[in-house]
Amino acid sequence: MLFGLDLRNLKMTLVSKVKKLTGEITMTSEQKQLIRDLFSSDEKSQMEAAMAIGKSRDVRILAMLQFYLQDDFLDELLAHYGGKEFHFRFAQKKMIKFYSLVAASNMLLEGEFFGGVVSEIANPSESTEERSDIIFMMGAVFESFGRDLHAREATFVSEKIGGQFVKTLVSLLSSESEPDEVRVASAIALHKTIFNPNISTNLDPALAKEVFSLLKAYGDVVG
Amino acid sequence: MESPSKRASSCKALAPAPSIRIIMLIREFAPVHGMFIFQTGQFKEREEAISKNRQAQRTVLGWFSSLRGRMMSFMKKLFS
Repeated sequence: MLFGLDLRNLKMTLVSKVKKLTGEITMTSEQKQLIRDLFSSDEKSQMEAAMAIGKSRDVRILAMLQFYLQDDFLDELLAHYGGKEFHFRFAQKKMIKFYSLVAASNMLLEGEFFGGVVSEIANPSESTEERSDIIFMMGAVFESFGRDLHAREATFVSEKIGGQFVKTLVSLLSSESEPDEVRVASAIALHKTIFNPNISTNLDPALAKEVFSLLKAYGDVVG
Repeated sequence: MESPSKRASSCKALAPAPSIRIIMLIREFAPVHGMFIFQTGQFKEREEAISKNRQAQRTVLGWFSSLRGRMMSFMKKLFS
């Protein structure tokens, strides 16, 4: 017990959720409704959904949000419906991306949630595939945060926890006992993460030097 | 003033001998074309590391692409 929280229970919940990430995607009807609302054309519903999603601690939803931050994912979804179900005008797509970013930032602001994610990716007893997926996904999230610099929440999260994520990746890359997939996923994620100026410009000079040296060593996969 | 032919011959004298030039060219182009002529142990290790990294990269990108596929099919079901 720490500050009234049972950390063992929190970890167990996170582990079971992480394990579901690569399996069949099943969600509660409330979670499904929140996702539908995030894609709504009504901005108020989108904002409320973003705030509610941000309060949840679910790696699968964070993984989904990461895809909503990518134009190609939204474009493919649009193409599937031929623009009949969704009227994805440029402005609406931008709003979906913005509220997904708000939801992801708020989720990562939960210190315990982020701490749990970091300990999962650093845990060698977890599956290599899940660890690699989460590492890659986190790199893509931080890269997206760096693309939307006007989003105050994303800037704040990048400054607050970006450095810690970089340190975790550096430690994974420096460990020879890690599987090749975890190290390569870490190199790709590091390359994406330092694209975010709110992270790269706040790095300690010694750490920044190590980052660039590691990226140079992995130039064949991050170029 | 030095004549052009005399200058050409002095330049020729400064240039490396043909055999050295060939070795220099091989050293310059061998890594680019993946040739293994005059390969040192260190160079071989580097080639092996690159090959392992690329294999791991293909695996990682494959896993992530499969995750994307599952997320996409979930979304299509959600809005159908």
